[in-house]
Amino acid sequence: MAVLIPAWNEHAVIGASIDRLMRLEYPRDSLRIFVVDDASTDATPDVIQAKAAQYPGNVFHLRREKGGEGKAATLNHGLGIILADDWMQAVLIMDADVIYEPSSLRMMSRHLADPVVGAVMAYIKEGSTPGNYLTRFIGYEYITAQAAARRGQDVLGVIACLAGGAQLHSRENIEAVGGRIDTSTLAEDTVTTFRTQRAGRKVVFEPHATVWAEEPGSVVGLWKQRLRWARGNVHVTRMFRGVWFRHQGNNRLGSISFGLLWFCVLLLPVFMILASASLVTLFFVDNRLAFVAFHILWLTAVITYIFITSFALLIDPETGRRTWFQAALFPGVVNVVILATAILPGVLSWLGHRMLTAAGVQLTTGWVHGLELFTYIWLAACMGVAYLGKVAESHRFTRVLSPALVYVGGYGPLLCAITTAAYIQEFRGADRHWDKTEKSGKVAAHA
Amino acid sequence: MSPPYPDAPPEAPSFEAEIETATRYEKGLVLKALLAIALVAVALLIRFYG
Repeated sequence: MAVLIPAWNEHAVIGASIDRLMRLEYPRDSLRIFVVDDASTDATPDVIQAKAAQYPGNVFHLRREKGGEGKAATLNHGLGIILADDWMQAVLIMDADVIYEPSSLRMMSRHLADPVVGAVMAYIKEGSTPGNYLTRFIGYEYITAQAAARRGQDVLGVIACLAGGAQLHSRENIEAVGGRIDTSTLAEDTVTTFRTQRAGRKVVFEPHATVWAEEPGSVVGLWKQRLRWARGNVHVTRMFRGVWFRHQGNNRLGSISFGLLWFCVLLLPVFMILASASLVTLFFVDNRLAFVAFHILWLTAVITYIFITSFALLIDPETGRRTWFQAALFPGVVNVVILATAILPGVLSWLGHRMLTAAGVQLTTGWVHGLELFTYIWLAACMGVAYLGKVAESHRFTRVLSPALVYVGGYGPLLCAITTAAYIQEFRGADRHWDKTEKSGKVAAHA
Repeated sequence: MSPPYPDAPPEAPSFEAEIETATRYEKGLVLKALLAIALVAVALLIRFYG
């Protein structure tokens, strides 16, 4: 088992990650850790060399003198060296900050006993200690996006993306996808995942193999990371345009279910804007019909919200105990109030009426229509408010407002705003440079 | 009972026990999904009959 870790200025995290790898429940003489130091300018080389001396024959320092070409190029440097030696039968590709639970690697590697399986991914959990409101949002998001969605994809027999922080490949698989990682995209993990499945091998999610990662604790950091992911997904959609909704014999990437799943996520901001625009148009054409359409839309949203939130919290109760508040407010405070109105229209209109009367406001038809119009517009405007959370955080005097804006606009709408920004950047053909996410060692507590 | 990995210490769980625990958890998700569906049903009952 070769473990490949790309590292650029990771001195705060790399030592703890290597120590943890050396404590894995895995035969030590079958484990070699290769850290590809991408021309780091901090103490990373010293830390790696100290670990190589501490674990002789297990830890290797691979230095690139010219760096900055992105994660894929760094990985390819390591893969070239590892593949040149026939010792390696499987390679675990991980991020420098990721902390592995002792049982994780052996749980993942078992799947490779089946020659049809080409790659396995673990369940990545957000593990920043101390965390903040944003890392708790991400913690909950990862239950839905990984523990729930990847399980579902496993059942469908197709996985959208191997997580970059914890992906295990058989040697045959890495060689079948060309022995290297694609460098033309910002979503190299997704490209590898697609190529693995197109080559006729299965990709498996192992939900019981848990690893911990440090995710961004600021909206600006999150925006940078997710913009890279979202732009990568837009690019992958174009790159594999011959795949969608076209049946292929040896994989399920072209299945209707996977196509729907992929495009529902990718096009969610478009659906939100179209729904909002349609309701506003309908409001001016036929006010009553707009109200009926709005009600049906939000009742559907309530069913989805209650099911997803409650099931996600039940899937991973340990994370759920830390993140239930963010789970409840994932769509944003205003959207949650609208969801509640869809379920309890009588109670909330009575309450609203009482509050407005107490404030001395006379509830007229104009007020009611104004409120209706606001809720129709909010469907798209919430993305703008969540975006303001990023803008506010960028300025010293408004930084304090940022969490409130994210809570009001919603974390989900914030992700949609990022996807919208990705559309725009890809449409403009903006430069695809690798913008690394800063890590500070906040997951070392799990080591 | 086979060990969970080669050269595992004697106190390590057996492969069979580990798989059984994981399988039990996965089967338990069916009940959790039913619970989540029941919550949806309660919400709809409140909406239309509450």
